Amino acid sequence: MSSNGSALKGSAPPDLAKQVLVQKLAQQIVNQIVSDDVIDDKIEEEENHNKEPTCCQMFYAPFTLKYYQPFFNDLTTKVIAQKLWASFFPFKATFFEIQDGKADLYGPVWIYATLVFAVAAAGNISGYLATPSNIAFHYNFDFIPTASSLLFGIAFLVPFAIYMVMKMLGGRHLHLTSVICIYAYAQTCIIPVCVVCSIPNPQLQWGALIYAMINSSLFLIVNYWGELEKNIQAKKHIVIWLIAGCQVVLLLLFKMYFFLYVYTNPYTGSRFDQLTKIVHTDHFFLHHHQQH
Amino acid sequence: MTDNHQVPFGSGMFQGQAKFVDYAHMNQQEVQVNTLDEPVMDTLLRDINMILYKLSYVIIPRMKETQGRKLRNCKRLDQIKIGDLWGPLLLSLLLAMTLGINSNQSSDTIFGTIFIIMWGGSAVITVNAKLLGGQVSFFQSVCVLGYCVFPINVAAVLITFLQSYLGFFLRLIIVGAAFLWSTFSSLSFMSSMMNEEKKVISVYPIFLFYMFLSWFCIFI
Repeated sequence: MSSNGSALKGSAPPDLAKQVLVQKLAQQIVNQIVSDDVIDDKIEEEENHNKEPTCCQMFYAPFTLKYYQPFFNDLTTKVIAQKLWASFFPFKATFFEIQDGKADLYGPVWIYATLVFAVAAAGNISGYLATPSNIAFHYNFDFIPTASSLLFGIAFLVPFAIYMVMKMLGGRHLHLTSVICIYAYAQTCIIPVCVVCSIPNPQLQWGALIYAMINSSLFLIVNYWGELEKNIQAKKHIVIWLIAGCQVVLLLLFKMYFFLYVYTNPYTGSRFDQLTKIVHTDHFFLHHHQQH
Repeated sequence: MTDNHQVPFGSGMFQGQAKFVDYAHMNQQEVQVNTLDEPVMDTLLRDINMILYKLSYVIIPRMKETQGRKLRNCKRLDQIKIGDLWGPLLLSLLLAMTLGINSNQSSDTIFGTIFIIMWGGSAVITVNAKLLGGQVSFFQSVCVLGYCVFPINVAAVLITFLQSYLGFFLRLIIVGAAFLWSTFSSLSFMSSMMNEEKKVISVYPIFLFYMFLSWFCIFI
């Protein structure tokens, strides 16, 4: 009890010395128990290493951290920077030579996270600049959940589809994580493109998105060219069209959902007009008001 | 990992080495009886003091890594080392409510988004740091990242109350300052536990995290 403790604190030296001794003894005992535990744990670990993983253990392995450790080993800033740099130059097939082609999961997670932010921000900025100044602009927070579901969904599904198709057509030396990794690095070019697309000029947006589509598809195709040529040969066009098709669909979705509003009313002018004194209309989509 | 062999014992934790613990003064059961018996104000004030003590580390960002290491290892004798989650919870609720009040249409989206970004984001950043080889406990890192949201909270509250007086650029400056403050506060903590070659890749997620949260503040 606390009253007991305070009584002990104020007591005479012999009792205090005894108390100190009791404390030290207790400490030793607990140390012993803990170190015994440590030894027990070590023995258990060694025994577990010798056993084969059971079916249950193989099932819940993806939920442990240790399962993902191999994908983050030996990652340095330099390696990531090299991979990012390589993704902007699709004509050189050097991606699998960086770090001996080891797949990393750092890239996918953070590239898609950055992309979610970039797309949501750029979409809202372009919407803000495109609305006429007499209309109040409401920030569209729904872009963020939509963008994350879209991007983190394609992060897994499209590489899975590519992997399955290539495996079925005879590809070898393929791992699912490596396809996920390279697909994510292929999307890096969309980040600067989003920054450019925050200007609501339709020609600029279409041009930038077409560049992104060509860059990412080429990056994937050129890097897989060796694999395609050697093992798949005749049917490689299926894979090529699959990759290009997925990129086209993705970028059309971007344009039609996030960067939809490029309309300006030529009479009152949008906020963008007031910045640049240029008037545009986009004939592709709706919202074409003409006041005479 | 460093967390495995710690045993909560009395007033602190030790790691299997002999460290002098005041065994006579209290053991685990006595602490529980004491905290049950004491008046509610005492419990609340102790928690509030703990939160304010940790906030003082955020308010004065420690740029040097040595001080970051000190923050990581800091403990007071009557606290357990793992760090509390009260502070981050209060700050995240405050931020989500402040931002939700101001927007007319999508307040539920905002509330949910901010909550998920903050807690999910802290968890992902911590897991990322751990996988890259950092020696840090999960909850301690989540705790620090949560506390460092405090400047963004201040900016959000300021913008809420002074909405009509602030033009767009002034808002941008306030939010930018809050963002830089938050990032520098948590920078010393996070970078003190990574190797030199992995610093940028472990700090970038923090930068993105606070950028995400600050971005909301500009547009309320």
